[in-house]
Amino acid sequence: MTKLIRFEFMKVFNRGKWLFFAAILFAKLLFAFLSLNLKTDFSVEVYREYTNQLAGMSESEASEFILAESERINSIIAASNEMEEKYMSGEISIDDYKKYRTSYYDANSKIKAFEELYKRYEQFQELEPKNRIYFYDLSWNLFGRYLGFDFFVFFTVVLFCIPVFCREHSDNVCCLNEVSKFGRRKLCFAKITVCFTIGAVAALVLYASDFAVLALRFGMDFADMPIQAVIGYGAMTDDVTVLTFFVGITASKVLWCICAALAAAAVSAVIKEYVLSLIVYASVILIPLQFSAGEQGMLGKIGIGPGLQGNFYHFSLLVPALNIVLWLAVNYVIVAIKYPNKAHSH
Amino acid sequence: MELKFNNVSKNYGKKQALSGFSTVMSEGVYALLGPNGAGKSTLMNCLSDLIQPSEGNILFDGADIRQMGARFREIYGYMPQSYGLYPSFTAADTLRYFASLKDIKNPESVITELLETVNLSDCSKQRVGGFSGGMKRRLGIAIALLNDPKVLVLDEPTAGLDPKERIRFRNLISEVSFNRVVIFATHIVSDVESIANNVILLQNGKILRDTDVGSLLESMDGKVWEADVENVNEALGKDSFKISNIVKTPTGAKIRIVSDEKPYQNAHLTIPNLEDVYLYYFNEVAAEND
Repeated sequence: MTKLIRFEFMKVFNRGKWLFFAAILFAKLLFAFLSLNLKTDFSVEVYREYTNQLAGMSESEASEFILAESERINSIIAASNEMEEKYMSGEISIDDYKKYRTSYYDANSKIKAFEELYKRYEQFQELEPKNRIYFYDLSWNLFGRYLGFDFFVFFTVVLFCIPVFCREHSDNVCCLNEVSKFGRRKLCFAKITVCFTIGAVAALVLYASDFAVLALRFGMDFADMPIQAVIGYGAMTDDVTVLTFFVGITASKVLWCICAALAAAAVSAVIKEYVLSLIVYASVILIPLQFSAGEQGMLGKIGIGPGLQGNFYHFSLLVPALNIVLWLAVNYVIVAIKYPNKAHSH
Repeated sequence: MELKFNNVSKNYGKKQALSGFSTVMSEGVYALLGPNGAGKSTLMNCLSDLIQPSEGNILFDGADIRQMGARFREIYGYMPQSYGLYPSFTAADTLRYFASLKDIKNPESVITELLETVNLSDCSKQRVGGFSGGMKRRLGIAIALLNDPKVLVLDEPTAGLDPKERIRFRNLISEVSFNRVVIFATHIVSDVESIANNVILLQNGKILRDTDVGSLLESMDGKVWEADVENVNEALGKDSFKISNIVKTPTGAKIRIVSDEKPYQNAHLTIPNLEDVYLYYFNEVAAEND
């Protein structure tokens, strides 16, 4: 079996086809570098300063600081007209007015970043006290927003997994394979194993590249903080750290990618023709994606496409694991139907 | 060793591709001779378990080959009429791949020996994609021989080969034919004469004759004539006999005729060959090549 698997890999990565994978990885890294940008309407540095200030504080101290800062900024902004009138009427000196304007500009430059922090404060009111920890969370938040349906992974599966079965038919080698001792069930299982491995490795490498880019550009600090403390993740019910959450989501996506690879094997084993397999497979993956916005409905829960998005709000590896079992069963049934005399085969 | 075809039939819808094919084969070379569409490939696909017979079964030493499954494939070698190979694999890698599919232990010595047998040793590291048709055919027979099969089936093995390659291939088949059942399908009569001990004539999925080459030729005794004629067109226009060959002479032509009765007063009997047999049974001139 090991030899058969080795030869199946030779077929898949012959004539330097591994270079295609290298090219996909390079494109993916480039895309990640260009896409993982903190384009915000507030000052990231100000936000970072605030979070750094809050980092050492207890929850009550942090709340007091935020409320006081809110009061401070709002009062400075609100006093703008009044201070201008006072200055115009001579009630305050130019030095006082200049001093005010300095504090006004400072508050004005901080207000949007502070509003973002305040949202987090509001989010925290819904959380258990132990999760109310302030830290610089923008890179994690960005990573969360970046996670989604990954066309690089999808393309890799299409490129390398669909031909695993189709190639035998297009090259007209089936008749030679199928009259060989291990040319039926064992060869099929070798092919399924290859698809499984391609799905797993491609997903691991490509998703790991996202982590790598994130770490390189923004650092991966505060990975041991609770996920609920990251803005936008307050609704998470699982008691996990930021790192565990993102590793979990990525693991889930890797499992879904294995499902996608096994589905590609099944589709191409049945259809046997590359272009038609590609159309059917793309439909199987992409159509449910269109109907699963916000993870609503059954398709959002069980579809491979939504699974590849990795945005299930429940932190579960069970669903993709069950899907893998399902698709392995589908492949087994296909082999069993194709070679019904299997009971006597080996 | 016995390979028994037991009333094997295959229908494709209403069309009967093979009808009640029954015969028993032991060690030796068997030629399936018949025109295109006679059912040769269907029979071979049934034997290869690539298609399931509509009726009947095939027994190897008393066991149904479909029930034997991998145990039969272990002693079976097959070269289809048309097949592909992985173009990016070298000849040696191709054989290594099929050796793993055929569960050959320590394949390297077998591969080296087979590459020599099929005269591809010098090309063992060349990619198969650059091979000529003849080289691919030779590699095909090497694949079929990898597991030292007891039953070797070759479907139109010389089709598409040039004369030199065809002769080389015939010799190769003769060399590897000992202690096996070798079945080869062809519509090229000269292949049969060169290689086969036994001939099965097939037409419309049915056996016309199943006998050894000598008996088949004997059965044609008194039916093959030669005659000198002045007007060839007149001879060609007659329906009462079949002309298997025409050689022009200064006075007209010498024609070779297959006929149950003496066609001309000046006709004399001559030694029959398999082309005459082909013409007699299939009413068409046998193919010299593909």
